[in-house]
Formats: sequence, structure tokens, C-alpha cells
Amino acid sequence: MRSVGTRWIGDIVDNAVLEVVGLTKAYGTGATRVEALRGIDLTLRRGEFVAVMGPSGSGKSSLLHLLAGLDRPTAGSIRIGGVDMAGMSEDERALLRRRQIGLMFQSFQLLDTLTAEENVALPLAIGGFPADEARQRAARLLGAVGLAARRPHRPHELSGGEQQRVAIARALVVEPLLLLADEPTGNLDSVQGDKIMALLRQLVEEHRQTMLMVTHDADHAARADRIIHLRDGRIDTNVRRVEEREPARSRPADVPRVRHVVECVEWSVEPPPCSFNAVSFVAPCAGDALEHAPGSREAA
Amino acid sequence: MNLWTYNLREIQRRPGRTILTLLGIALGLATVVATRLSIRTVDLAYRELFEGVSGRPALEIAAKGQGGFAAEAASGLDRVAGVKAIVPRIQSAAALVCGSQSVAIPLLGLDVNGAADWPVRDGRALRDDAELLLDPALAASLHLSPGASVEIWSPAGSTPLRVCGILQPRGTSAAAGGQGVVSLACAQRLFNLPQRINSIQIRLADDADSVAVQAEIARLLPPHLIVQAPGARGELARATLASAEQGLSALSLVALIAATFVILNTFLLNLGERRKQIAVLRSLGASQRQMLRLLLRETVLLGGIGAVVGCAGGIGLAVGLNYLMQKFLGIALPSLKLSAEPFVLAALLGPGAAMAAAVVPAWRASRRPPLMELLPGRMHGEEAVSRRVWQFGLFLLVAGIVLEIALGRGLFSDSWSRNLLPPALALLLVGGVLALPLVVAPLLNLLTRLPLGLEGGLAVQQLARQRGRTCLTAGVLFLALVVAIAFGQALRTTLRELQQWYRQTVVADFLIRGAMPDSSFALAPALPESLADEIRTCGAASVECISFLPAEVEARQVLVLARTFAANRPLPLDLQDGDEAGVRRGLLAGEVVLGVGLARTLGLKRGDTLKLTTEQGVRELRIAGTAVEYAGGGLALYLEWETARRLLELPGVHVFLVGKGASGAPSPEAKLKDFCDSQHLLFQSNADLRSVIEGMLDRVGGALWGLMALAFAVASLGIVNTLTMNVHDQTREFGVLRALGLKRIQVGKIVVSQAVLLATLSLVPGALAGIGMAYAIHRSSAAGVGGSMPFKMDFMLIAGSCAVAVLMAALASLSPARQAVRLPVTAAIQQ
Repeated sequence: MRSVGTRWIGDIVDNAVLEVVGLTKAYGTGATRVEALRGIDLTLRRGEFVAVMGPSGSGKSSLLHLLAGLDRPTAGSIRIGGVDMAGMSEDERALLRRRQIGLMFQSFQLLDTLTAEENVALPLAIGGFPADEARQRAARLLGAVGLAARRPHRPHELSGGEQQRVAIARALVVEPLLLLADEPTGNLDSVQGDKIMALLRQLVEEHRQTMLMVTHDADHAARADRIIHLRDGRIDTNVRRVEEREPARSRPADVPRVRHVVECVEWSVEPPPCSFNAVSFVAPCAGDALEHAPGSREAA
Repeated sequence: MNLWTYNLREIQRRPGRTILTLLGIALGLATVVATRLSIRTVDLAYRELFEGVSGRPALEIAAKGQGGFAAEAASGLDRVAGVKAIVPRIQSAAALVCGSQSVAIPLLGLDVNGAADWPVRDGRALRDDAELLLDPALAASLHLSPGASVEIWSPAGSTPLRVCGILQPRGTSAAAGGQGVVSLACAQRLFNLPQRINSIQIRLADDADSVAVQAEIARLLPPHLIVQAPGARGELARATLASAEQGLSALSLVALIAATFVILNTFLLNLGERRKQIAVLRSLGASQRQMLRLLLRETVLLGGIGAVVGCAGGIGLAVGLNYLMQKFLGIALPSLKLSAEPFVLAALLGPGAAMAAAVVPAWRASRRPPLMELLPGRMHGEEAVSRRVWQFGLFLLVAGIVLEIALGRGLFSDSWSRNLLPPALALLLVGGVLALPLVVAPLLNLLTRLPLGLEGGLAVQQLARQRGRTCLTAGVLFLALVVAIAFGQALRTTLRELQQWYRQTVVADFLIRGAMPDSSFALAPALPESLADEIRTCGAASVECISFLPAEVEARQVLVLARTFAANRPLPLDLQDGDEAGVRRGLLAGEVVLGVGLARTLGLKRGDTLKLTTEQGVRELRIAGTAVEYAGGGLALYLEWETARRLLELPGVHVFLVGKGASGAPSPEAKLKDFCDSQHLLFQSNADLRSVIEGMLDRVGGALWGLMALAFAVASLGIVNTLTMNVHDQTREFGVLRALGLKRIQVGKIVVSQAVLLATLSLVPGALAGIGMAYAIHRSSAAGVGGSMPFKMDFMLIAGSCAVAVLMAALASLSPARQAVRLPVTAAIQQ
């Protein structure tokens, strides 16, 4: 592990920003033991945008919290930027979050007492940045998310969409290796949600921001490069988006032609009807061929 | 943006809570600063009074009892190594009359040739025996300048003197604001000390070892003379004020403890409210240590601001305290002496108390995993009270009780007892609050079993759910109740005793004196005894004389109250031991009556003998009885006038107590008043004196009741905080209850019930602890100042305090209840 400027990174192999191997999380003991995650393997490469979906209790949030270092795994390892989180103390994990991870929450979690600009500058202040530099960077980012005029406003003076954009700016202000978003559109109406998703997509496209997003919304998940579907603590499907060119006559010009490819399917006991999940993801592009890649388990 | 911005915004976010915290700290520190300033002012005043007269870099020879002696007694001392010069002098108090004003001043008589040490600013130095040099402050206050004529009342009577010069400023030299200097011959005439002096100043060489010189001189002196530092004369004066100092110190300590718990209470509420915020900061990468620092510095900042406000408030309070003491004691105190010590103390105690209150909760909050707070729909669980907390509280409580018992049984010396009382009270209070969960838990269980109705039941549930918060708020109320009951009871007992004492002892119809004495009678100007005959000619039926003399008893400085006892009037003593006839016979036979405080201090009782140091050596006197006496801080004894004249050197009469005779006889008041006006003497009727004293007692009592009301006010702000947090926690519950058909008024009732039940929880332990502390204070103050009343529980006060606690709690709940009543149902359910 070495420190490079404000970054705290290890040796990143093959552009793998996040490497998760055999991640398991169990709560309680004995008869009350519940396994939220059961051996998740996952790799995110630089500039990749992954959406995690699944029904309630499938382990989405647990996965996100473990990746953010907010919780400790029962087993398995997590490497972010080549740095293994195993054995890290609370404070070391806090430092890792401070330097490598940007976090977004469903309920924005902005501090009421601070202005939009101060909220964005907060992670820099925590990192001990000079106040002026922190302010300038925050202002720049707020401009980038279209909120230059709202810098001096407090959260309660902003709409939900604006608050989430402030949260995006706050998450990005430390230039994180990995952006983790926990249902970032969950508290927004569809119009605002779409705008936020467009912004996140833009981040990936233009800045190669690596991002993992937990969502319930299939439309929003469709904007990701890959959709991981969790069920009962395991990866149910791992579907990669493939964009294809199609004749204009069959699709509106502004809608990208997308299809998702199941890359990895793990079954706990018996395989459920695989095509159900896969088909549901590719529904927007019904009629496209499915490419099964059952053997391509990641980071194995 | 830096993290200080975050801290400042958080402080600004809840202005009410911030003001409460600041108020708590500022009040506590203001009391500390005011107490320290007042004590130091009075202490310095006395030190300077004596040192100003004698000069600092010197030793002083005086008679034990401070009577006169022949200057030859110290012959040969100038040959002691290290002694530079020996200056014989007289120093005593006199009344300076100027127009209609009459003030008590210390008067110094010294050889005209030696007056060179007293440089003159205006006018000229002393040349003859009818001249007077005045301190500039005194001269300014009386509008006197060189050439002015004044009158001096002394044991020799009224003597006209001319002001020949105004001295160079020498700092404050007297409590009354200044001093006068006359020639030695003039002083000998004024104080009836022909060919004698009452002090010798020893000036030391620059390189002299004062301790060695003092030891050598002490070896050479005759037994009735002592060599001491000049300031030692103020020992009795300082002893007089020791009890008041002790009371003030205890009060300031209690205020500080209360402030610390107020900070703790508000800080815990803050933490409870900011759990999610703290979790967000942690999730953004704030380390545990960083979080701890972030939380602590907010409180420490408030502590610092509170210290500044407290210092300013302390100065104001000290001015008020000085004013009250002047009014109460009827003396002039010097203006406030500002020194660095109280402010340094406040600067340390403010942030220190804040840190002490916040460090453990902040540490715990900084280590709490952020994840749980970030989960949607997270409700705050029950706040457990750590077992260690109440165990530690119990330990402190037991330690306090043991120390209190030891103090009560007199296992420590006087000075140790005085110093140990405040820590004992602190242990009892802190221990009481920390151990409160032990009492609150079963009381809460009891409350759950009572038929309190739907609203009461829900209120109990919430209090039980947030047990930590409940215990701490009950703790703040507990403190307010203890302070109200303990200090209220002590105050009422003292005021009752004082009333009884002066009604018993000040039985004369009229009082005549040269000027008002100070509290320790160190500045009591004496009048000639012969004035008694002139007073009689004004139609007085009886004239009794009283004089206050410092003396040495059993190697301790005490105040001797020498007085005549008219045979046809009841014995003017508040006797505690001995019957009136027996005591009167004993006094006439040369026995003494001891003040209760002195008897207790010396461990003597009626029938024992005590050793009084006189000019003729040590005399053993039988104790005829004991009586309540507050003069001299209780360290006082009564001697019959003739016995005192025989044993001690009576300086003259400090007060003439005049009786007007039978009720049918014409009152001599007008004649006496005319006589006093013509002679520039101070005349007071008993009714005047009583109304003055009672007015003072009322003012002092009113001020202290005001302070106690403030304690309740601060406690009720704590309740507002707690209930606001409870309403916040219960928002969803209230929403569901409203959705299920609960009326708005019922929601309000739940919140008000919480407040009333909170107050109820603190009543029993608060009342019990208050009574216990009142008893401890009673024992301690009775030992210190000579009070004697048996401890009697003031049920009215206890009931009143409890009722006020419940009422204040109910009033404090109105705002949170209003907030709960106005919650929109749908939004509340969705929270």
C-alpha cells in the first residue's frame, strides 16, 4: 500500500478498482443467524458502472455497506484500489472512505446547518484541506452539476433533485476511485430521477468514474454497464449491457439501443428459470439474442 | 469551509439549547468568580488595613490582646542582627467627624521625626500635636483639603484637629477607604495611653532573614508581647468572615456542579439528535478521533464563551454581593479588587467543566458504528445507563456520607473542616445524581403499575424507554431541589436565628456610637466612658456600655464583648447553657459567658475554666454559661465591664445602650437625638436598627431565593430539552396514535404527563438528599458562627420546593406539548 498525493492506493491490477472475493455477511448467531450475503465475487474495472438490483432482503444494502467499509464482512475480502480492507481498523476504513470512496444515499444525508457549497466541501474539510481550496473545488463541482446559483442555499431550500445533485458533488469532491450510490433516485420523482441518472451516466462516460449503484428501478438500472441481480445473498444474474446500432426506423433516435448479456449466473441449490431474470432485464430490447457466458465468473 | 464552520453552525442551530448551556456555565462560573473576588476583596482589605498602617517590609510587636505597653519593653531590640530600625507607634480606630458625616478610620500615631516615611502630596508634614495627615482617598471622599478642620471621637472624647496635609497614595489602606496619621503624642492623648504605645514597627535590613529575626525577637520579648507580621492582626477579621466564605464557596461549588450536569444533559440531547449526522460524517471519512475532537471542541468552545460571560457576570455579581454585604453588615467595604486568580480559575473551569461533562458521551458517540444510524426507518433504541455510572455514583455518595459524618463528629481541625465541607457536599451531589438510576428504575416500575390512564401509561413508557435521558433530566431537577431545600433551609434557619439573636441581645431602646463598626470590630471607634453621664442627663433611664476587644484565649484570637449588665433589665444574652440568675451572678463575680461557637471550638462547657492572656499574664476564668453569639464569627466571649477593666485594657465604649425607662415616662428620644447631633455622634433607635437589620435580612433572603428560582429555571430548560427530544422520538408513535383516533389534547396530555412524572421521579430522592444536605450545612455553620438552634425540618419549605419543581416541570412541558399537538398526522406516520 502506498500513498500517492491525496490518494491512498495499492497496486491496481488490470484496472480492477474493486475486487470482492467470497464476501459473506451473517448477522446473529445460532438459531437467529441470518446470512445476508453468501460468497459474493465481483470485480469493477475503472470507468465501469454497475447497478445492483434485487428484492428486499436480497443483500443489496449489506453489500454496499461492506464495500463502503461501514460494516465488516464475516468472511471474504474486499480490495479497493488494490488495498485490502481486511484487518483494517475503524479509523483506517474511515481514511479509506475519505480518500477513495464517494458515498450517495437515498435520503441525500446533507447536513442541514451547512450550505450546499459547505456540504460539498465537507469531505475535504474532514481531510484537512485548506478552506479556500475546499471552497473552490466545491464551487467548481456544484457548477458542474448545474447548481452554481444554489451554492449559498441550505438543503431545506433545495428540491429533492437538487439535494441529490449536491450529494453527487459531495461524493465526487474527493475524486474517489469508487462511487457507491444507495438508491440515489429512491426519494425522487421520475423526472428528477431521470435527471440524476443522466448525470451519473455522464460521469461514467466523460470521466470514467467507477460506480456501483443499488436500485430498485429497472429503468435506472438499465443505464448501467452491468446489472447484478442479487437473490438471497447470492449473485443471481450478472448482465452486461451491450449497445448496438439499429436502423432508425425501428427505434427512436434518442433512445440508445441496449441489451444486457448474462455473464455470470450462480445458483444456490437448483437453478431457477434463468431466462425469467435475463429476459426481464432485456425487455426493452425484446427480440435481441441473449448471450450466455456461464463460465465467466469474475475475479475467480 | 473548515470544520469550525460546522461547529459554529451546530452551536447556532439550537439557540435555545446553546443559551441554556451558556447560561448554566456562565451562572456556575459567575458564582465562582464573584465568590473569589468578594473573598479576596475583603481579605485584601483587611490585610492592607493592617499592613498599610504598619508597612509591609516589617515586623510588628504588639501586646497579646492589642493593649498598650511601655516603649521600654522593647529596649535593646535594635541590636538584633537584621534589624534596621525600631519605630514605636500607636494604631487604633477612631471616628472622624466631618460635617454631618462620621466614619470609622484607623489612626496611626508616630513620632513626628518618623513621619518622613509618609510623604505628603498636598500641604505639609506633621509639625504639632493638633494636626492630622489624611489618606488621599479618604480626604477625597470627605472633600477635605489641607487646612480643613475635623473632629476625632476617641476614648478621650471629641478632639478638634486640623488637616495639615494629604498623603501620597499608598494603595487601599482601610476598609473605610483610608487612614489618618497623627503625632505619637496626639495619639497617646486620643487613646488614653500616656507614655505608652500599642505597637512597635521593626524595620529590617535589606538582606535580613525575617524568620530568623522574628525568632530572635520573640525570644527577647516579655511574655505579654508578641512579634508578628503586620497582617496577622487581621486574623480575627478573617476568622469572622470564614463562615461566610465557606457558605459562598459551597454555593459556588454547587453552582459549578449543576452547570456541569446541565452541560451533560444538553450535550447528551444534542448527541441523540445528531446521531445520523455523526454517522454521515463518519461515512464521509471522519475518523473516530476526529469525531471526538469535533464534538468536544463544540462543548469546550461553549465552555470558553461561558467562561467569558461568567467572568463578566461574576464581576457584576461580586459588585452586588459587596453591596449586599455592606447593607447587611452596615459597613463600608472597599471597591472590588480585581485580580487574575478568579479569572484564570474561570478560564480553566469553564472549558474544564464542559470537557468533564462531554468527554465520555463524546467518546462513546465517536465510536458508535455509523451504519445503524444510516439505515432508513431507524428508531433510537433504549439508552441504557451504564452499570459503571451508578456504581461510581454510589461510591461517591458513600464517600461523601462518610466524610460528612467525620466532619459532624469533629474528627478534623477547624481549618480542615472548613476546607473539607465543600468537597463533601460535591461528593454527595455528584454521587446523588450519578446514583439516581438506582432509585429512578424502581420508581418507574412502580409508576407502570399505577392506574395513570392511557396518557399517563404512554408517558411512563416513553420515560422508561429513554431511561438514560430520563435519569439525567431527573438528576438536573434533583440538583435544583437539593439546592432549594438545603440552602433554603439553611437560609431560613440562619435568618430565624439572627432575628432571635438580635431581639434577645439588642434590647436597648437607643444606641449611641462614634461610627458604625466593621463586621469584625477591627474598626470600631471607642468613645469616652464619661459620655454615659451626659447621656443620663438627657433623661435616659439606663445606660449600658459595651466594648469590643481583641484578646487571646487558649492561643486563639477571640473577640471579647465587655459590657455592663443593668440589674433592673433582663440579661441581654441568648443563653444556651445556664440560667439567667446564675449567669448574672457569675459574670458579676468575674466569670465569662462563651459564645456557642467558641465553646464548641475550644471544647469547653459551663463550669470549665478557660485561659485568657492579659497584660498581667494568663488568667483562668470560670465559664458561667454559653450564649448564641454571631459577633467575631462566633469566636466571642462576654465579660462584665469591671472584670474586663481589671483584666484587659478597655479602650473606651464602642456602643452606649440606652433605656428609656417605664412606659409612662416621657421618651428621652428627642433630647438624646439633639445631644448626639450636637456631639456628632451616631444615634439609632432600636426600632430603626431593627428595621434596618430586617430590611437587610429581607434583601439578602430575597437575593438568595432569586438564585434558587434561577436554579429551577435552568432545570426547567433541561426539561424542555428532554421533552422536545421525546416528542421528536415519538413523532411516528404520535402519528399512529392520532390515526387510530387519539385526540390532539390527549397527545398534549402525554407530553405534560411526562414532565410531571419526571418531576415526581426527582421529588423523593431530591427531598431526602436536600434534607441530608441541609443537616450537614446546619451542623457545619452552627460550628462556625455560633448558631445553636436544633435542626428542625422545614416541612413548608420542602413541600413548597416540591410543588415548585412539579409546577415548573409542567410549565416547561407546554412548548413541547404544543409541538406534539401540532404534528401533521400523515407526515408523522411517514417519518
